[in-house]
Amino acid sequence: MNLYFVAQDSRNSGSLAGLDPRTKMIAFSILIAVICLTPPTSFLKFGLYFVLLLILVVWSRISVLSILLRLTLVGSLIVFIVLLVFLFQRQPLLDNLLIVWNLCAKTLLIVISISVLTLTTEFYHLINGLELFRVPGIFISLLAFSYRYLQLLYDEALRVKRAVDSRSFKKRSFIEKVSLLRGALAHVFLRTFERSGRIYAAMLSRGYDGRFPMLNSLSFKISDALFFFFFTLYLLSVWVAG
Amino acid sequence: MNAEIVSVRNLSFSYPDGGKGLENISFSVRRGENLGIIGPNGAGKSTLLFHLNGLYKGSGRIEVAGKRVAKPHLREIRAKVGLVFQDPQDQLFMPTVRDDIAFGLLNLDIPREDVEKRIEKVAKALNLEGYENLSSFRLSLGEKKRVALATVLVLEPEILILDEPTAGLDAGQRRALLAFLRGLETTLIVATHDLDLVLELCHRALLIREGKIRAEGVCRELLSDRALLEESNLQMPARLAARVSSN
Repeated sequence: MNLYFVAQDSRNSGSLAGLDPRTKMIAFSILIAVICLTPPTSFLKFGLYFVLLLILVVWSRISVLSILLRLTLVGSLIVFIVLLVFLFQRQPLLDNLLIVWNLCAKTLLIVISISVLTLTTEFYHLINGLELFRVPGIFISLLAFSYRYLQLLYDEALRVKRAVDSRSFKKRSFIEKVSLLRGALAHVFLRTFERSGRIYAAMLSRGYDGRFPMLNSLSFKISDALFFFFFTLYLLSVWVAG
Repeated sequence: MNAEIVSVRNLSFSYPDGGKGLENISFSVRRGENLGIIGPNGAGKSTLLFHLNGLYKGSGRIEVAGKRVAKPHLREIRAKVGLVFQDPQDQLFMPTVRDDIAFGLLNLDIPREDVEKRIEKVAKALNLEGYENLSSFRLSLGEKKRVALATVLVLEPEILILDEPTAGLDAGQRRALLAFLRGLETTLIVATHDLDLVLELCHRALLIREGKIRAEGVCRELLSDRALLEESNLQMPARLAARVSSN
C-alpha cells in the first residue's frame, strides 16, 4: 500500500480536481448532511445519491480500486455495528434489518463522498481551504501533523521491513512472525517519534507559528459556481421529488 | 575587525534523559567569518547548532546579532539564522519544492510577489530551475540537499548554519556545493567531520568532544595536529597529511 496514493490520485483526476477545495468542501458537507437526514425507508433517495457519486467518480476519472480500498477500511466497523444491532436490539427482525440497512447505506455513501473529495483534492489544499474557512489553528495543525506522521510511519516501517527481509533466510512460523512484528513495531514508533521531533525543529527554525501558508492562493472560478449550482440543484430535486 | 555576530558564553545542556550534551561551551563568531565545528559522532555538534536559533535551551548566554536567544526574540533570530539539517528529509515537508522554499518566507509575511521573485532567484542559484512543482519526496539525496539549502537561503539569513552538509554527496555534488558556499558572503557555521571541507571553507575551527571544546584555532594549525585529531577519531585532511609527511 502506498500512502502517497492520495496525492497521486488528486493530481491525476479530471475536472473535479480543478475546482476550488472550498467549493468541494461545502458541497460534500451538504451532501453528507442530506444523507444523514434521509429517512431509512427512502430507498430511492439513497439510490439517487449513489448515482450522483457514481457520476462524480466517472467524471473525475477516479480509480474504483482507490475507493474500494477505503471501503475495506470501514468494513470491519460495519460488521461490528451489525453484530451489536443483532446482539443487543430486542426488536422484530425487520426493524433490526432496517437499522442495519440505515447504518450500512449511510456509512458507505459518506465514505464514498469523503473518498471522492480527498481523491480529487491535494491534502495541503484541503488544509489551505480549512484555514480560509477560519477553522481553529489547533485542529488544522493536528490534521496536518497526523498526515505527515502517517507518511513518516510508513517510511520507517518500510525501512525496518527491508532490514528484517535482508536478514531473513528461512520461512518463519506465525508465532515467530508475531514476535518479530512486536519488536519491530516498537522500533518503528521510536524512530518515527525521533524523526517527527526533527521535522518539527526544522519547521520551527523556518518560523512555523501554527499556520501552513501555501503559495498557490485559492480562487473561486465560474466552474466552481456551475458545479455548486448543479450539485445543489440535483440534491434539492432528489429531496423534493424522491 | 568585524563585530561579533554570535556570542556563546558558558553554555551547558543536558538531554531529557539526563545525558550530558554540552558542558561550559564558550566561543564567538565575527560577521563574515566561516567557522568549522568538528568532532566525532555524538560529540555534541548538532546539539550546539540547535542552540543557536533557540531550538534547544541550555544554561548560559547566547547572543545572535546583538539579541539574546530567548523566547521574545526567537522570531527575529530565526529569520537571521538559517539552519540546514543533516538529513534533508527532515527539512522538507511540504507537497512541492516551491511550497517548501516558500514556507519560511510566508511565515515571515513577505508579500507574495516578492516570495515568487526570491524563489526564482534561489532556484537559479542552486540549479533547481524546473524542480519547483515536483514533490521533494521523489528527488535524489543530492537534489534534496540542494532544496533543503534553498529553503534556508531564500530567507537571506545573516548566519548560515550547516549540519554535515557533505554527508551522502558524491564527489561532483560535493565540489558543486563547496563552490557555491565559497561564493556566499554570509557568516557560515559548519558542523562536520569532513575536515577537507573545513580546511577549504573555514577560517577557524572548534574541536568538540564529549560536549566540551577541546581545541580552537586557525584551521590550518588545528587540522595539522595529527595527535589531537586521532585522539578525536578524526582524520587529517588529505592535503595537509601529504604536506606533513613530506616535511
